[in-house]
Amino acid sequence: MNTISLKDMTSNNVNAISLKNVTKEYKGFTLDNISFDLPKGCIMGLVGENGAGKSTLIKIICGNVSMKNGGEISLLGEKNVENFFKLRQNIGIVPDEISFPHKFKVKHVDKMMSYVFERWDGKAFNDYVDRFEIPRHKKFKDYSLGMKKKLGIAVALSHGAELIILDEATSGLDPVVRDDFLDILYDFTRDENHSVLFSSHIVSDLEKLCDYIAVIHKGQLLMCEEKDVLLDNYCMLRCSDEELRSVPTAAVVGKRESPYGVQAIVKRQAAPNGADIGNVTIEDLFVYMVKGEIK
Amino acid sequence: MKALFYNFSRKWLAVLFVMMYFWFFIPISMFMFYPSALTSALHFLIAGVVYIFVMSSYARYKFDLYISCLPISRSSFVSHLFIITTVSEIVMFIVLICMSQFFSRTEDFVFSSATVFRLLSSFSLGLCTVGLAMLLCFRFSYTVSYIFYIFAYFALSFIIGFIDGFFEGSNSKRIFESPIFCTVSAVILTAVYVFEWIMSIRIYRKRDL
Repeated sequence: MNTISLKDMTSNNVNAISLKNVTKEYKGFTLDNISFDLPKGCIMGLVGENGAGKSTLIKIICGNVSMKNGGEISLLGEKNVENFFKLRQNIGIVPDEISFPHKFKVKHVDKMMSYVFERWDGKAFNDYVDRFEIPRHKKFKDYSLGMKKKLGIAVALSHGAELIILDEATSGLDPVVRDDFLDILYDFTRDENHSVLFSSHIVSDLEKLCDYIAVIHKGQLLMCEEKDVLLDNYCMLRCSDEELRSVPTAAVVGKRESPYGVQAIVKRQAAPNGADIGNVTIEDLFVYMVKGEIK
Repeated sequence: MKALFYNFSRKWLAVLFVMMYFWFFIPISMFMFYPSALTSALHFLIAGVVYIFVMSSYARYKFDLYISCLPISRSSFVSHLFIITTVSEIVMFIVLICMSQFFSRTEDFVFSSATVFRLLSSFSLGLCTVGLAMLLCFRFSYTVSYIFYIFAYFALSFIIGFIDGFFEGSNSKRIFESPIFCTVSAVILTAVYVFEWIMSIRIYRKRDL
């Protein structure tokens, strides 16, 4: 039976985000030749260690960092970076640091955003404020990190956006709110025109939610694939060092050696017959891929 | 841009308080003793305090970075600061004209056109200098802009004071009160200010945030 991949199902639609050979050079760091597509209606998780280039990539996508070192970006079908700020009417961006004037309360944010967004939905915003239990009487300066994040998320979800871009949006949130937030994002992408790009260190969140996973390491895109394909294609192999040597090197993502044997993530097809294999998680895959060999 | 002014309008009481201090207490004391080109030029630099006030609050909140995630163009962001500065300078100009006329009337009861011309050139000099401080802010950083602002304040105090005093003897008329000099300098400096405005937009558009 032929299986239809997510990419085929969405191929008739325009990609929400399309990157081709995006490069950005800084002193001591290069975001190198990044290419991927995020089809409409999908959620993509961006994983990478600190300083890997996730935030830089998100800033480039948002048009806040120039692409003078080359590459092409298409955002909701628009290719002219100069026009990206207009597109933000249709995009909800939650940066890693949410900042409003310190004396702002919820009602001031509501008022200001009604001037900013043409399709600002004050009722939806206030519903999210209640749902996230953001205190209305407190000033922004008295908010905790989590409250600030929640306010930023409420703003991003309240203006009829087609694309939500989140940079470490769940860090600082307690597990209950995080779970609630993931449900909201899941509901958001039920509309086939809605998409989410989501960077996080909390890989378990991405594993719960995302259709695609992209791994960035030291400015390079190591992998960008459908989550289900990744989980199907790779497995955790527990064996001796000699047995692992029989597996082609190209099929080994990473390995961990211990006095009792070797644990390695390998391509499922390359695993020796009868070997002790188990399923991998995205977190395992990420850690093994980035660290290569763990002793 | 309306959203940016909404934020500013919420601070109007604090801005008014700061400006009241500079507009009324310091100018009154200076006009009573020495209403020179130096003092009036420095008043216009003081009017740039509004820009410093707004920018430093943005820097403290990192609000400008959040604005860059909203559908607000960079040219709107730059322009709203230039508009705030221009309005505060114009208000300063009107206040100073009223005050200068008031004090000159107490002496000889005649309209002093020389004072108006002096204020006009000082107004455009102040505008131009604050515009340059903003240009440096958008090109480099808030800190560079503030350092330039303080440096410009003292440099202009020295330069204008020197020129003003140097020409004091000729026809009992200071160069800063000459209608031709003042009009020409006002036109040139205002043109420079508009150029700084345009350049700030261009620079900020290309800047990585």
